[in-house]
Amino acid sequence: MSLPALRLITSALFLIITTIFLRATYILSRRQQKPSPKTGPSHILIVLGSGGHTAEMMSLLRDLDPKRYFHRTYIVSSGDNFSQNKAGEVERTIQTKFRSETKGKEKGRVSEEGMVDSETGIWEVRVVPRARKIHQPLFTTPLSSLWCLLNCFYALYGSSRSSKVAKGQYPDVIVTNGPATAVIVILSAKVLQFFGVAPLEKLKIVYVESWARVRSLSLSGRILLGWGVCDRFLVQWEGLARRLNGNGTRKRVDWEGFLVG
Amino acid sequence: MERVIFITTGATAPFPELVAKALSPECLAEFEKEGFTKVYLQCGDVLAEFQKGTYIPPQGTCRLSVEAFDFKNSLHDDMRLCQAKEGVRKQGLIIMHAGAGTVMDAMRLGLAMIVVANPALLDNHQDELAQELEDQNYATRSDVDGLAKAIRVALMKQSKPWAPQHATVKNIIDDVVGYQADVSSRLVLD
Repeated sequence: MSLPALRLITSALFLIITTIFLRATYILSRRQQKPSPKTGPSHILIVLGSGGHTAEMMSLLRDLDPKRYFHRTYIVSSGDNFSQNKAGEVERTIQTKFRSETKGKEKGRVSEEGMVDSETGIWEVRVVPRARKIHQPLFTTPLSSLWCLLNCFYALYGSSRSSKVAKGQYPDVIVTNGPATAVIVILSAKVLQFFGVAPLEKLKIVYVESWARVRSLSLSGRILLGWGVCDRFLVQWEGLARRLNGNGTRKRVDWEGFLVG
Repeated sequence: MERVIFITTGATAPFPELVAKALSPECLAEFEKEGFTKVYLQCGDVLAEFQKGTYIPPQGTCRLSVEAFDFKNSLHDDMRLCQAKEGVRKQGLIIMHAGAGTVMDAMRLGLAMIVVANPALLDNHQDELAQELEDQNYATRSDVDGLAKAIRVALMKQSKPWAPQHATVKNIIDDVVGYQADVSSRLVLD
């Protein structure tokens, strides 16, 4: 290889690495800041998984205020049996609870997907392909994961375009309890932020480890905790929290009792 | 008065060992001694085997009525048979696999529980859950072999009820998004 070419490659690499480093440092420094106070409505994105995960999510979000979280986007993976209907069930829980005090015709009414309701806002479902199907050979997993990632970009972008809270704005917060898809959704969110496509004050991450995980984290939980990407990482058993936090002064996970009700 | 023992093996994996053990002469004698009147089973695909008579005790050896079904969408109503009801039935007992959903449902109803991890589901962390439930006094943990003893232990023990939950994810999400805690409305609600 000629010397000029080598020089060019070296300086290009130097520039790229420096840029990545500076960008990462900036993002990390911004994470320490408290969010600016918010009063208006928000856009929440909820990643659903298989049956058990979804049933738990239903319980976790039982008292979510649909007026405050006016736009609710559900991400489900294709092939998860009935996950799409499950989003409707989560919605029924949220809206029924919200209307539990109202009487007459409005009582028990649940808005349809994609329809804006003046009281309970709007909810929508976006489907992404599974990162790995059951029994799929291991060597094709990177490909299918990449396909899933691309679709997650598209789902996030789509949810920003359709936002009924502020047009073109990305969701304020992503909430999940640990299906495999959640890791890819969060990865795509962070990539969008890294390249400045989505602003850093959006797409916050709240991760709630499943109630079933008593003494160790799920694979998704391990990946996300190791990566350190979550704004709040919650476990539901005190022993597990103690094990993960150790004696260190820095708290890695939070424990506030059972969050399922 | 009626007293029901409800055995549930879940929907995911068959657990014939638990069904066989619960209907063994050893356990049935224990149930009778404790004044139970009915054994009620949710046993999934094991039902076919049950209907062939594999697990049913020999005629005349048992005064308990035994009834089984395979699956149901919700076991909520069946579980409530284990709750005491004035003048109708006494506090029963539930023996179950350590599936999180089932355990949670039973805990919410405040049932006396025996939790048996299914060894066929090794990496499902069922045993960790069973262990923690016992350590925190929510339930009695048992393996299949020790079931008869666990029945005695579980009936003696006063289990901790599912506490009303104060923490909810709602507050945590609010905090992350930047909503200030709404003190005024909380004061009114309290």
